[in-house]
Amino acid sequence: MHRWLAAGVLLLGGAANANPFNIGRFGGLEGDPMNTGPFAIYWNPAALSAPGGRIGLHGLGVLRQASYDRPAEEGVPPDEAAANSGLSTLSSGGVVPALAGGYGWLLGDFELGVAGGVYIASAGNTDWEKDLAAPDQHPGAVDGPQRWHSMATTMSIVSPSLGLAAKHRPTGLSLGVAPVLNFARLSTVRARTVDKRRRLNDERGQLAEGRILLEDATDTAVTFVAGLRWDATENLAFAVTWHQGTEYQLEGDAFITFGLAEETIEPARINLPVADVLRVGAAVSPLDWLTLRPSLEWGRWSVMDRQIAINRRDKSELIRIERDFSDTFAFLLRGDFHVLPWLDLQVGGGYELGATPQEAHEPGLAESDHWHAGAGAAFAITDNLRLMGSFVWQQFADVTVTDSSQKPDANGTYTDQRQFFTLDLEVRL
Amino acid sequence: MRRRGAWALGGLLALGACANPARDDYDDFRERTAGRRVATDAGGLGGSDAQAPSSYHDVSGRWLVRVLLASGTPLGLRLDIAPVAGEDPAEAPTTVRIRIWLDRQVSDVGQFDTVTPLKDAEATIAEDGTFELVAEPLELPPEALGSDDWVRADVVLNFRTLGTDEMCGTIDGRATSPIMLDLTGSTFFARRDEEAAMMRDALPFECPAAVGPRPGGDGGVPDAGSDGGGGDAAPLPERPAAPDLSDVPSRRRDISGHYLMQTRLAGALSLPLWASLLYVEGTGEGGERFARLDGILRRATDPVDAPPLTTFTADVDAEGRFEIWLPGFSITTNVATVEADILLVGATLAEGFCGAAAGQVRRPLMLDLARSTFFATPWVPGTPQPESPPNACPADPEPGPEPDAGAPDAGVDAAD
Repeated sequence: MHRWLAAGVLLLGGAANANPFNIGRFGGLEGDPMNTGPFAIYWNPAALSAPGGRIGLHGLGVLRQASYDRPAEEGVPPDEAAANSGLSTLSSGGVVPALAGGYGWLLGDFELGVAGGVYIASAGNTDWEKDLAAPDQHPGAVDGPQRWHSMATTMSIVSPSLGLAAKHRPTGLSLGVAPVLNFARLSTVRARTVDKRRRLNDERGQLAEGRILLEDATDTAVTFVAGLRWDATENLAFAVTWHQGTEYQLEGDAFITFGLAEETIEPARINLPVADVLRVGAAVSPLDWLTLRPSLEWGRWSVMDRQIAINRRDKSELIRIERDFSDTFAFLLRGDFHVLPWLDLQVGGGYELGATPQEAHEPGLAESDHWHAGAGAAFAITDNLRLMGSFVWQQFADVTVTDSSQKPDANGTYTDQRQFFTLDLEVRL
Repeated sequence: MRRRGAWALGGLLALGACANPARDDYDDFRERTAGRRVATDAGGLGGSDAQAPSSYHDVSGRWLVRVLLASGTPLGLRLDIAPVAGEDPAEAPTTVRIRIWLDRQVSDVGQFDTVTPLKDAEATIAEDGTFELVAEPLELPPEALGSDDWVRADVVLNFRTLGTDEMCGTIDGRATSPIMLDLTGSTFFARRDEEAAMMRDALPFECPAAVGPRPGGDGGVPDAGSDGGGGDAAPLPERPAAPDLSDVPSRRRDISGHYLMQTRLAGALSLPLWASLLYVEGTGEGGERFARLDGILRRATDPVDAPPLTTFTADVDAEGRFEIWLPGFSITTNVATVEADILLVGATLAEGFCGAAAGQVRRPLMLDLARSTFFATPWVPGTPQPESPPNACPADPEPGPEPDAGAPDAGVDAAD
């Protein structure tokens, strides 16, 4: 089931909203702790108690453009410099679907709701472009100068979830919880030598460069999303959501080719920490035609210290990637303009402090400080059918690294920008 | 509706079946490099150690070993070899005790007694000077190979004794941690180093009989038949007549070391090279004395750990003259990649060596190398090159000192 669902993940890049890996944009610009649609199962389960039934279909399209420009090493022959330096680029797109639904009952002063859904909130698919102008006497060079850190990576966490919520109408307080069963999968390949140097040839003049592939490493974990909401008045509400983090231990096979040596296959395991995320939001309608939704997000990404792939046979290290992530902090602001009874126009933007310190940047995963801005619209096609669409531009700060903590070093200049298109269809039953 | 749903499901499944770019990139690399593995298997990773003559000598003492693993990773070791109690090292066969360290673990002679060796084993040296050193397991600290963890391997070092001061051989076995890695094809060269003063980069990494211009790759032309029987292998170039250096005085001596070799091709093109030489004297299987140069050529601007442009072996005659034949020599400069077939003819001087060259440049243009000359001066790699160095034998060169009782010419082999 996991591979079938993951087949829909063709999107490129890491984080979309706050936090590395996170691509949850269900409901478009209505995606925040104040969400009351079917995907409240993700944004804030406390809103699942609304009476009646609802189904939501979500589609996310992503475009990404990124680059890594590595300077030439000094004192290196020109052909080797050409094989290990220069500009790497990445330009591609993908699509991610999701589905959710729920039903609520009014029971006196209480509302009770249940919900279910399947979504992909965390994913990434990086596939750097080939350098067709690379010197052909070095057969590894066509995979680009970034190959010593990243050539292609596919990661997805497919999350079927259930939700349960209750509301006390007189006080306006509601709470909800959604247990989530997460299926994580990772494949990644990079260039490699035994001593982790950018060695193209050995002292015989023969091939020394190799590859290490970690293929279809998987793990399963149960996490929870919990939320609180307070509808203080008709025009004012507050909410908080906690997304539990976890550390996956993804197990798969490592395929290793060093230089001209025979291929080796080892059982491997790599850790993938995913942070707790806390979101706090409010919805205030100062005017009949305007609702403002500010929110703050904190991601405990300091749990991502390093990633280590080990040989399960004897627990020895195969790959070590220094991360040294910091916690992320983001501020977002959304505005809903109720221009017509059947039409809302939406705008939104935000700024986030990135997780990756400068020295830990590497082409496989790096998140600098970034901002995003976008616009959308929601159409009430009928009383029971609502269509929403949005476009968001996300821009990361350019980063130049000169003191990389990676082995081999990942010095160079990084750029990254992404565009997100969402389409949501909500059906009220 | 049902048919449309089936098409949508099939499309998603098709995407899932082929959407693994990581596997695609890995397989693509192996496919691109498969030919190099086949060519290497045909020619041998380390050449044929059976070609290296081996004879019995007393190898007791301390040695520096340069290893090149099959994965392309270099490694340095130090050995302490001593006869076990009751054994006479002058007579074969003899059993010896061998202690092994990383080269960097021992930086002065006193540390042989204070630093714990990585391995302590025994071996029996046969009458032909060959022996096997079994190290099962051999555990190398992470810094030995730049790994993140200790490296464990089960290996057998197959030694051949070239002379009192040189050994070489191949390695069989495999690394078992952190990965299983077949080490077959790994090679090594050892030189006596009683004071622990030498650096491993001064040594070759394999038996000298296997050394020479590499088939394929950057440094040479393919051997006929190395493509597995195909009919498109280029014929070996014809060796040109050697230039006459009879008017250049020459006297044989040990010219091991590093040299800045200034060449002047066709009387017009300047090409500075870095030559690393190891002078070897010994006794062949027939009892004849021989002298030989094992060498590496690099660009003068290459860093100290750069791989060689080419390696070679050249016999040295009684007067210290030698010829180095380099068919398919290739060097990439800032301007172009130059490919040539070059014969270097040298004479040994008091300081360095000099000579003339013959042959042909084939790319980027055809150029006769007549009137080509060179001059080599002792040099520390990585340091500034001297300004206006000579590029030809001087008009009145000094041939060097007469050999004395301590020089390599005077019967150094105690077994004679």
